[in-house]
Amino acid sequence: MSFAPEIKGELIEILGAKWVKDDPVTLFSYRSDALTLHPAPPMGVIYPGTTDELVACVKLFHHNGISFVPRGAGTGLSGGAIPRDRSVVVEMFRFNTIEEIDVANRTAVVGPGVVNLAVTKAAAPHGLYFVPDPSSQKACTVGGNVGENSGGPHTLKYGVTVNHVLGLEMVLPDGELVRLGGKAWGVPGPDLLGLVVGSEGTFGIVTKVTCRLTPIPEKALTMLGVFESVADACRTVSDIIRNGIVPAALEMIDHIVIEAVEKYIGAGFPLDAEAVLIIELEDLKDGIEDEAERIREICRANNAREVRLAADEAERAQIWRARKEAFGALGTISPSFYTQDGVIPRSKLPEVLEEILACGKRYGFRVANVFHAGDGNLHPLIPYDSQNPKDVENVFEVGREILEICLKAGGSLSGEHGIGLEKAHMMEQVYNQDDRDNMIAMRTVFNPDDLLNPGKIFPNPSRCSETKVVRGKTGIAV
Amino acid sequence: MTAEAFKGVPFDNVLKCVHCGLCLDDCPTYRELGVEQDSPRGRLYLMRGLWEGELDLTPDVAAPLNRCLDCRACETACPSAVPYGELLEKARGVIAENLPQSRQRRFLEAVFFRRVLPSTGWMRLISMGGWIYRLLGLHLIFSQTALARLLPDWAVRGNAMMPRFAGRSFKLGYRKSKNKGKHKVGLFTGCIMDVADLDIHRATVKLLEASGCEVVVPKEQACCGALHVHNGEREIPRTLALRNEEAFKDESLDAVIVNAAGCGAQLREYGHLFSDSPERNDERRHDFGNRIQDILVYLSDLEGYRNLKWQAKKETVLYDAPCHLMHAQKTDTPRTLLAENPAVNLVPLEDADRCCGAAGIYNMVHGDLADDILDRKLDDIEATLALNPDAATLVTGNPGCLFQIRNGVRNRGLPLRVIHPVQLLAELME
Ligand SMILES: Cc1cc2nc3c(=O)[nH]c(=O)nc-3n(C[C@H](O)[C@H](O)[C@H](O)COP(=O)(O)OP(=O)(O)OC[C@H]3O[C@@H](n4cnc5c(N)ncnc54)[C@H](O)[C@@H]3O)c2cc1C
Ligand code: SF4
Ligand code: SF4
Repeated sequence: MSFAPEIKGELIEILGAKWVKDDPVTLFSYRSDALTLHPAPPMGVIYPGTTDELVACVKLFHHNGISFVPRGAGTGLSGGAIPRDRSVVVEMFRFNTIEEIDVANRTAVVGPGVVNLAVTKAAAPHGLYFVPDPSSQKACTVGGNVGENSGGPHTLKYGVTVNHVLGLEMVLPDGELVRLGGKAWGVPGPDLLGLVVGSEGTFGIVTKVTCRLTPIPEKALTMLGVFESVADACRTVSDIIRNGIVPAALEMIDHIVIEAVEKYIGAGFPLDAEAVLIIELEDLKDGIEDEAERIREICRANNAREVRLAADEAERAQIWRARKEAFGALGTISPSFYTQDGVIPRSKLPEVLEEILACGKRYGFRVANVFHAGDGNLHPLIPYDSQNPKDVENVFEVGREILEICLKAGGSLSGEHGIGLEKAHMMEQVYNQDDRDNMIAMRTVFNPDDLLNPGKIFPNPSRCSETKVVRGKTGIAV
Repeated sequence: MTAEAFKGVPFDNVLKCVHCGLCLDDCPTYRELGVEQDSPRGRLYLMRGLWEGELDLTPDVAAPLNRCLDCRACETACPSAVPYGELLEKARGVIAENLPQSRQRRFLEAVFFRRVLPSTGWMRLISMGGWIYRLLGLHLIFSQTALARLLPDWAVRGNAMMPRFAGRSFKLGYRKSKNKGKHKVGLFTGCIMDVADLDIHRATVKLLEASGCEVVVPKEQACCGALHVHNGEREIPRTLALRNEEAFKDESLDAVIVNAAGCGAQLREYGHLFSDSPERNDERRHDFGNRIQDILVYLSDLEGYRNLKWQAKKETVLYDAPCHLMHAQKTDTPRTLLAENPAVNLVPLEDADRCCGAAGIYNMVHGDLADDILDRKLDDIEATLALNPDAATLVTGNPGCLFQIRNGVRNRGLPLRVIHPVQLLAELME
């Protein structure tokens, strides 16, 4: 089913024929984002170029009761940009200008289609950068970051997207244009901006983002701690934080991943280690060496076999490349793997990791781990064979059990990838009926008819059981 | 599960794509069009759909696959090591075989791919024609008068992009190296480049000889087949591959030197070309590929080159990285070699490794899109020139890029000469 002829005619009038598509190839191509598990073709795709055009299209959808969903780069891992119920995909690609870099106020005003890394690139000549650094930063868009409230390795010290967005311009599902926040810090009244960031495209379509820029730190040091056991590495993580040190990043890689990375990139990680920690310090020049020394001591106290300091920029870059491409490297072990995203209090890391490994083992999977240890954000990776239906079935079971383990440990369903389509059915395990009703009531204020991105975060009540697995998700690099 | 059309075509590697999208922003066509099916991920998804039989092969499915530049920037960007180029070329083979082709395409195949490119005789004839054509100033008549409006778009573009035909073949006219150097190397001369812009081959030989090499140029060698492969032709290039293998079978050759990035990539990848023709796919295809070396990469390892003396005066130079060096052969050595040269002041060009839109004969077939992609390149060049007003030379190691950028620079009236890096180095030698 594509656009009805009248609707298509009106859309073409607003956008021009080039920017309205509903041919079979387009519908096929937009049926999934980076979560390939639940493909669902849209009714069509539109590519608005200006806010006025977007407003006109949204009004048209509103009047005709047509649902629609904004899409950035489609790197989302929870199906946020997948069109449920034949929604129209609103591709935000053309909102891709950086309007302004304001050095005095340290802000950037950008379109939501601007690629995350492009903001940092544009700010760099002024000694500034945009902090949120998801591993997908070279492709994902600022609009998507706002949608998912994305984080990255440097979240530990500096916070997630919501801490780096000062203002938004947004089109509500009935076509009204609103502005939240601005260049200044803090606005009176409830924090609507905070509410919208992370709403996974269910509150409105963002058309402009005022990003907070941060000075590039004076000095950065990258250290590598090598451990004989995962538990020791986990305890080190807690001890570092307990000692009042907040590294810019604190990442753990286990030995399965080390093996893959060494095969693929050769970053010089010791092959016989059980785990390595990547610890990055960012600070003023003075005092940073002392901090590094204290970290060295903490590592040693937790039986680290070796603590290395990257000697130069090249070695630093090599370590980070290994981290960022670790998932790609895993492809050398298994062509398919399922990535889970859960978060737990970091003090529980040792027990939870053990439980996760045991859970994988029960189904015959060798679960690998590479994750943001500092904030307890786990990314267990389950290698499996996508051609084997039994494996596909089991891998979901394990994925679900892992989340249950996280919940039991006092954690939550998602650290950074969002709930989207993938985990909507698990929300009832986290929130009781009242809580969920209240949250839905809140969404109703912005999105009363549920026309904007239906079926996300909370299952669509009438169709909650219809999310079926159509095909095995092949591995995802995170 | 495999669709009928893909029978016998190994395509499992398409499963390596995990649909993560990390390649999107590096794809020139996606950046230009903003459409998923014109991105690497989208194209791989279509190919997978075809291979698994979920999609029928129709002109609409083929269109985005044909709009791909085959620049392979997505391979460099991909963390999962998806062999995009190989998959695309095979998919195009399947498309060419199973979809009725346009008239333009059938003409290309029957005349250009089958007859002209593989034949030295034809190339010489064309070169002579081209040489006379330019001598008479006809190219100006066609580009500067109303006549241009009578010609099809591709002909106008071909005219503007025309190389400097020499009217003769380099390999046939080559006299044996006087040098009995330390190393003996073969020089691959190509099809068009064997009869045009011969300065490039001359400069290549000069550098090699000065660095202590004896250069042989087998007369039996042929076109590499890259243009064929990029356009979905499989069988003709396989015969070319076997001819080239035979021409360079002399085992005393230290390497086969190539000064065209696109040809180099193709010669190195004959293994891929035969992967869907298993009966002929043996070690020799791979061994041949391993002997292929880009001229600058080869020089960078030569002691003789390291000892060369260079002029005292520094020349400010921009370097554009041909996709088929950077992304297909996966080497950035040519750039570092130039940067290390004491007579060169290399200024960085933003997005130097992004395609210029030449992409073989893409710029003639998909003219408007190629123009948009070229425009971005020219914008970057202009911005760099504004910051470095003393730069007067841009070098790039692939003939297609050379003609494309040269043409663009001329149209914009930029004060820049566009040459091959070997020409620059040969000039700078003391
Ligand atoms: C390899 C890989 C690594 C990743 N690493 C990380 C990581 O380290 N940390 C992390 O947090 N995430 C990570 N992700 C997930 C993903 O990249 C992020 O969620 C990213 O922010 C999504 O951006 P996008 O532009 O692709 O958005 P999309 O996937 O297109 O959309 C995401 C959501 O935002 C909504 N949206 C998009 N544009 C707008 C708009 N203009 N207005 C309102 N809503 C909008 C969509 O409707 C959807 O719900 C990773 C993904 C991959 C594939
Ligand atoms: S080869 Fe180039 S044009 Fe084709 S998909 Fe890859 S990056 Fe895009
Ligand atoms: S080609 Fe590579 S980078 Fe692009 S979507 Fe596929 S796996 Fe990701």
